[in-house]
Amino acid sequence: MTMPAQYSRWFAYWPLALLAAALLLPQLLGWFGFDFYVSFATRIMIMALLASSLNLLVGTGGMVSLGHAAFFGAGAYTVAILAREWGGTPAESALLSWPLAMLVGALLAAFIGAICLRTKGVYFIMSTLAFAQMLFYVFLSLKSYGGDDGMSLTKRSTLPGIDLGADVVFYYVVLALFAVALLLLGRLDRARFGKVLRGIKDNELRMESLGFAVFRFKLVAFILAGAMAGLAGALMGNLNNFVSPNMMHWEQSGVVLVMVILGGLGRLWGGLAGAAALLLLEEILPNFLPHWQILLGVILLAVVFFAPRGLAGIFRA
Amino acid sequence: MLEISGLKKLFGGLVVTDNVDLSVTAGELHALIGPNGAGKTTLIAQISGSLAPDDGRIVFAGHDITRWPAYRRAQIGLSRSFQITSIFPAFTVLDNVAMAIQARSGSSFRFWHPVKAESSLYASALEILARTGLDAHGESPAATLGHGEHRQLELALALATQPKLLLLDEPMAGLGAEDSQRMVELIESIKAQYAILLVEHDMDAVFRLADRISVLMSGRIIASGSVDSIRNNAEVKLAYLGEEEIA
Repeated sequence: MTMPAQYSRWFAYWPLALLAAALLLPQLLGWFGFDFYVSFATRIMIMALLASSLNLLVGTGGMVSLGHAAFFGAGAYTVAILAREWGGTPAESALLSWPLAMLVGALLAAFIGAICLRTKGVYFIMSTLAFAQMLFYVFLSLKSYGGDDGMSLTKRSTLPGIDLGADVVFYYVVLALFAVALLLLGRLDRARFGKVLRGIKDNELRMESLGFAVFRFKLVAFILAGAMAGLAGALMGNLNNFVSPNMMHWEQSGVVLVMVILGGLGRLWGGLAGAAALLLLEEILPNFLPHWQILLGVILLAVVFFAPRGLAGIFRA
Repeated sequence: MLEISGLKKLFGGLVVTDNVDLSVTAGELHALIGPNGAGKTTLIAQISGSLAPDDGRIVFAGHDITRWPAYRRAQIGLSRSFQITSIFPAFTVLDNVAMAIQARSGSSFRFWHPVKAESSLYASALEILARTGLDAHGESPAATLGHGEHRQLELALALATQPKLLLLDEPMAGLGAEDSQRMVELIESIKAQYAILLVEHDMDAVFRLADRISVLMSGRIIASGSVDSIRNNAEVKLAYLGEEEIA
């Protein structure tokens, strides 16, 4: 979409405007009596964080993973198991359990990536899917951690001086983390590492023949994305005070992939645009239509055909 | 610079590389010719590392690189161009070349500093564009270039990695007379600075550029020598060049 120059200059500031709106959102919702939607907005940001981490793999690096929910679930269970086993100790602190969730996500990604990244195309999709499903069945059968019923948390993680139990406070913490994550992803994208990933997506063979150790770059990207997905999982477990094996199910991986494609492959704001659009549609459409999934399907098709670069790509020339 | 000895490769029962000995010395342009199916591209693939030989040795710049992965060979100065253009179509021409320069200038595990701000990277890239006659196209998306310019960019990418040895796999492939002429002049202008192994079908180009020529037939080197000795070699004439082409 093109626009007159005097508008496009101001348009460059829209991330700041969006941040300001996000900061004011809980107040606005409070005035209108929609407090319930604070948690909904938090959920959007957590899913946006998860989708953004997947976008680094799929959109930037061309690695179509269909097992990204494995790291999401692993992060969530890390926080839940720490709270169950060592409740009342510093293990409940977000300062410890959230970085640990990221570490678990990263280690798991290092292991899965080291194997799956040796395959390409459809085989990569299938092998990532297989690992995530294995993890899903492991937690499904772990009766001591709830099995298929999942596991409830008695309360959210703790932070010194901050009450994460309050939904509005938790909202702002998630907003801060998501903003930092987007900043890092944006820097990474424009740095050497991001350019290498784009080169690999465009022509992997040529990257190899130019002297890039392609496998290592992909693995590092995979580990970074795994850590970020682990954090998203930790946050989601906290938001719901509940974790379950379904967080790792391949359907969950599929939903995140749809968010990425809907929002814009390889676009910094793609994860947010996709997560917000899909969750909002799922929230709004059922109020008007009993068979709303059909309309959702039509909308997804329309995006694929009329905005192939995704929602975040509509406003770029 | 490059020493290949006793190289062997079989595809099933078919011998595609049959006990090949081949060398390229510093500053030399060694041309490899042979009819279609002689095994030229297979040989290039083994030298550049995308295909593992079954037997034999490849020594480059003092390293036995026979079992090295392709990227490590490139890192010590072995660079190749592709017969079928292999570039980054989604990047601009300038970014294509800057990508290649980035490969040989420090670590690319950098996550914070914008690559566009690395002025030395882009200065070198502009220089390569000027040398390869692409300076007018720097900001064009690579996908929009014509075939002749794609071949120039292919060569530019190979040059940008600061190679010691260039493997040029049919740089004239698919070029018309005019573009071919320009490519020959381009290779002539750079040949003093690099050791080059040139695979090419265009005999006029080979005779004009080569210091030494080897002829590959069914996976074997059947003749090797100076331009004149190959031109007048009866076996080569019969097998490959065809009588009338020489006359």
